[in-house]
Amino acid sequence: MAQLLTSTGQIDLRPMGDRAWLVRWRAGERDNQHLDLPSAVKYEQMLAARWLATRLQQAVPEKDGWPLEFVPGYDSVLVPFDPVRVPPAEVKNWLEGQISLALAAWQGSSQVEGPVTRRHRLPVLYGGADGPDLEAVALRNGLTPAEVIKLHTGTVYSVYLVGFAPGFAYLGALPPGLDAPRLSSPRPRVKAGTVALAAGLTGVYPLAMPGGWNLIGYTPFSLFDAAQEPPVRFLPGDSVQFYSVEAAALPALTLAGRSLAPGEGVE
Amino acid sequence: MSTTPGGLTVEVLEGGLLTTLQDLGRSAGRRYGLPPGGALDQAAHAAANTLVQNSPDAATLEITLQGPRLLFHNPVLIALTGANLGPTLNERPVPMWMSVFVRPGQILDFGSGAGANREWGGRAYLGVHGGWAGPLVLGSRSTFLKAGLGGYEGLGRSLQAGDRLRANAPHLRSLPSAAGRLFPPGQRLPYSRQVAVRVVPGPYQEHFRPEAYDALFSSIYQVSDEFDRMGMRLRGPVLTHRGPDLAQIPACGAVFGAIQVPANGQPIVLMADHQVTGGYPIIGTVLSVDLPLLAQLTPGDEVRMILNQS
Repeated sequence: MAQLLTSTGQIDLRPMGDRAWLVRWRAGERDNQHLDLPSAVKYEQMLAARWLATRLQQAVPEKDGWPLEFVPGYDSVLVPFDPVRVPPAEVKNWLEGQISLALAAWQGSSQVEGPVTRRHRLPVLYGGADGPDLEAVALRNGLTPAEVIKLHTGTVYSVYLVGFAPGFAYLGALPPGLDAPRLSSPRPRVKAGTVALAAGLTGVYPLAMPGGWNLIGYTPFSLFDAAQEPPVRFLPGDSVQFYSVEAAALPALTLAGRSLAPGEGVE
Repeated sequence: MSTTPGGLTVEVLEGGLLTTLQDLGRSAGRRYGLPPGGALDQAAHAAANTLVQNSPDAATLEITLQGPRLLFHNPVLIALTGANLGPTLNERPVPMWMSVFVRPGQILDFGSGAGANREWGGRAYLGVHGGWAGPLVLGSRSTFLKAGLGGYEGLGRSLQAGDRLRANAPHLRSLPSAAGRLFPPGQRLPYSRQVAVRVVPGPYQEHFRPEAYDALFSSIYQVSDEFDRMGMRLRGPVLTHRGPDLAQIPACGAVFGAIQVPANGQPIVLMADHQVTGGYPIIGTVLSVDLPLLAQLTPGDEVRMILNQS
């Protein structure tokens, strides 16, 4: 991890058109090295992205046209701004200064985790019609479905990133001994609330949408609701743990899980 | 029939193909996985607001190809900009790019030809003095269809028969005297069915062979049928990655106008309702000021990419 942020030479600042800068870092020589990286390094890169995005958000001047949001990616932070109101070069200079400060402040991976302020516990009905890949995931890992459930519920995950879809959070990391690659062909429609895993991460589909992850269960808790503020359950830095429930418990939990606020609807 | 300012303005008789409330979009929704959204053709949206004397952040109706049928219950000042989809008011043609006074009982219609006679473009913007009313959701009235968020009554959907729209209270004393104002032709963008847009290369240049850039900047790409508010798939010469494993990237944030290239080498231009993060390498990004030209294209139209000389 530390090597990622030890020299500015490994940090790239490139334009995305005329209204965003993309801060990217490299873990290796090859440009696509990321895809081959050991999982632990990937997660640390994500944490670093989240950490840098948070730092930038706190430091950005509240001036017209300046960035309002910093979007962490797996190994990058996107910085959109309004080029009509602020010259791109001005934002770039500021970013370069901030990145230098971040590098100087960098003290290894312990601090990027940050304090967990919000904890979630989500009920899951594992397997069955909404978890059609549970058996396959078990087979692949040399486990029984019950052992998969035990591993999946026995881990406290961190929200690395949001962004793939409204309310979708990349939760990591899966515990050792439990993983599966993305499906070779995504399903055209995955139901909202479906709990899935792929490539070292787990997550919940907040809305009905196409999906390429392995589906292992279903949570009756809402993940996204436009009428609530904020409209999502998971925010970067939150911690998440799942627990197994029976089908009979779903109706009551569906009701309890309408509120997106953490700590409510807990078993 | 009520004439109370701020009361019922319009009764929707037919919703049209895809008619949504849009504005400048959400500037701070990405943290929740929400794209910026907003009017796809921001220039036409802004022009409609200018003509009816609104600030640019007022909501307009984005009308797609087949327009709605609207019955007006109150006197209002409206303006239609963008593509000419054949609007009529009580069966008489309505001039585009001009402020128009509408009387109670009049019906704005677009016929049934899906804008068949249009010269160019697929989206018209209907502005109303005061701006169309709608709840602010995360700072915007824009409709985000995928999540059912914002827009008309905050329902996050396109207009349907039976919907009842309101305009916010007017500030002008006399609406008729504000009618007849024209948005100068010289200030309109060079809309066409064949457009050229400027592109800033990158930020994932190293994922592509040099030939990919040669192809990108020397070819004509055609708009496919897969074009919605999230993205526009183009068809044309294949843009080759440097290797099969370079057709993916670790997901990174993206913007409206970013040109992604998946493994099949056919570019996808991200539109206003794009996924906040994407996993395909971005070969280049269209300049903001040229996005309206792109947003107005319809399937079969053509686009040339020009290297932006900064």
